Amino acid sequence: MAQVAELKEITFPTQGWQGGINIRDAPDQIAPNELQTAENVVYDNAGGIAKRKGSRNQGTFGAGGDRVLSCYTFYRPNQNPQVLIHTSAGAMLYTNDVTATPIVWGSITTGLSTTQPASFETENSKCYFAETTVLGQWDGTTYNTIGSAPAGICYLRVWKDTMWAAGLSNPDRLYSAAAGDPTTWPALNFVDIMHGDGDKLTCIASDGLFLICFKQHRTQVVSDPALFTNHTADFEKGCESHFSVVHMEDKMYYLSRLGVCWWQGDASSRLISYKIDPLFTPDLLNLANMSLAYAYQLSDRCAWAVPEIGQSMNTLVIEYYPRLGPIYQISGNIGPGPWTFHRVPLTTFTTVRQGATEAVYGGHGTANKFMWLFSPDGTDDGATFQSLAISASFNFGSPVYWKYFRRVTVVGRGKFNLQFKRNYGTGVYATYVVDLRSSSLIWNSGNWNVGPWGPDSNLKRKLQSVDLHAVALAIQISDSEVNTGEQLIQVGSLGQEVTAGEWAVMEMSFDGFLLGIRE
Amino acid sequence: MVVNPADVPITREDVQNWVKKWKRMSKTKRPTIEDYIRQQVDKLELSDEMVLKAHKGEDPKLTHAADLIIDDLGSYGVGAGS
Repeated sequence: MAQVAELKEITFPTQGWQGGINIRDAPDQIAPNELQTAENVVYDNAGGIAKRKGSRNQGTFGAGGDRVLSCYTFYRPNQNPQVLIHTSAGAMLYTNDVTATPIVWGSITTGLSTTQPASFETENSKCYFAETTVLGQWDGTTYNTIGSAPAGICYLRVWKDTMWAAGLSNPDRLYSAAAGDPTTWPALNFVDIMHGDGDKLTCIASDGLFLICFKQHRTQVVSDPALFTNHTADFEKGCESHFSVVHMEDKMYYLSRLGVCWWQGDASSRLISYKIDPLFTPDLLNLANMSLAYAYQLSDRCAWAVPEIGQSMNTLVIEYYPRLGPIYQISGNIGPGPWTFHRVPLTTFTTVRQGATEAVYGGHGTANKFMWLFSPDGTDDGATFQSLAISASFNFGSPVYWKYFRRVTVVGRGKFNLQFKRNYGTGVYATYVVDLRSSSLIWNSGNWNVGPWGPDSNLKRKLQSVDLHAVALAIQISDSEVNTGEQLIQVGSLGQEVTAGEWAVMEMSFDGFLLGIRE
Repeated sequence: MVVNPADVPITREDVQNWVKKWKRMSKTKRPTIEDYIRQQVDKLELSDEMVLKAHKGEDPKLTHAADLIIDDLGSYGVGAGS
């Protein structure tokens, strides 16, 4: 039976979205600073959300059907770094300038594996790579193979000035080259990691202190590089992909079957992706192809590309912002940061710092293109992409009574669709177009001391008229714009404008009235 | 007393050369690859502490160098029992 409540004004500002995506909790339990979902959205400012930048084609390689299996940046002192790509044609290509358009590729060798991605390491100023058929050595101009290396190796890692290797032929065996010499392999330099346990080595990594030998379901660490002494570090979690290990600041992260883990050293790892837990199930991810998962790290974020269900290549990027986690007042420690999702055309990644530039590059998943990720573009290789963010559902402190809102105040920039979902429903209830774009700089005439002088503001506030009846409302922001915007970063007296995605939203404030119960 | 595996002066290149020589032998007259490896290791006349290596893992035990090489024949492109 309908009832009218005592008339009460409601003014409700959002708290920012520093909590990031939460797909674990029930829709009515998602915190006000979290998002039900997000796609192609970044957290350029803590609390704000923005559309990501696009990606740019830096040129093609090989034949039309060739794809990048893995890629690597070979740094050399006092020279441009080379970027190496291992292609599905079995070729290893290199370029001396990844910023050129188009990139000029040279050939290192052919006849390599067409399916197993090569892993790479640099030692003694040379790049080494292995993909089960060879251990290759490349110094920037000359290529050799190391014939004495164990057959079948495809995972490489340098630890304690020594090259370590594992492969697919023997799922337990870890090999070591001679100390400081990756071209010499003593015949007895190997050890079986948890011999015959039915599992297989999937990744070898290092935190500097230990050589970490990951299997799919367990983790051992080698502590002595001479005697190969090893012991269990994690009895329950392993690693899915050799290419999923990320070092960022003082932490190491990697992808396990249960999600993204934070390496704790000589102890069980800590799962940090619990807010997106439901993703890591065979219902949503293709567990058979998780060995292809690939990570990148750039400035304040790191990410993993993973294959979704039914897909044979990486299709979803899960991006993590460790520096945006909550700071605990007493300890000063920082808690887990927010997550977001992207759908980008790239499936493999390498971060390249060259001259004045630093960017992530990688292979296109469905074309023989090498791409620049998060380039200053509003499209992905010329194709429009949609951004989407859906907030938690707000009941404005009253889970029973209906409310009416006539105005929503938006603080942000750019142009986007402001939509609302009502009462935990999935359909869109109302749509408004919000245009907060800055106008271009123009010279004009005016009276002194009348009106604003100087460029149009980057960040704007707009009172958007709406007509909303609901018990609870969720905010949905989406767009399919093809332009970029600019983020203003105040450095002392200078306001530096940095190319960013089309839009950003910092806050929304509702004002309206409490109505009553309505059936 | 055990030594570091790297101190045993047998490289993978040595073993590869042994395997190549063994493959060139007549199939009807050659010993098994295992026996051949043991013969080659014996020819080196290494001391006991050189050839006995602690195979470190969860359960360390001393293992003859020839047995370790035989265990790893797969990485030289040779199957066991050849």
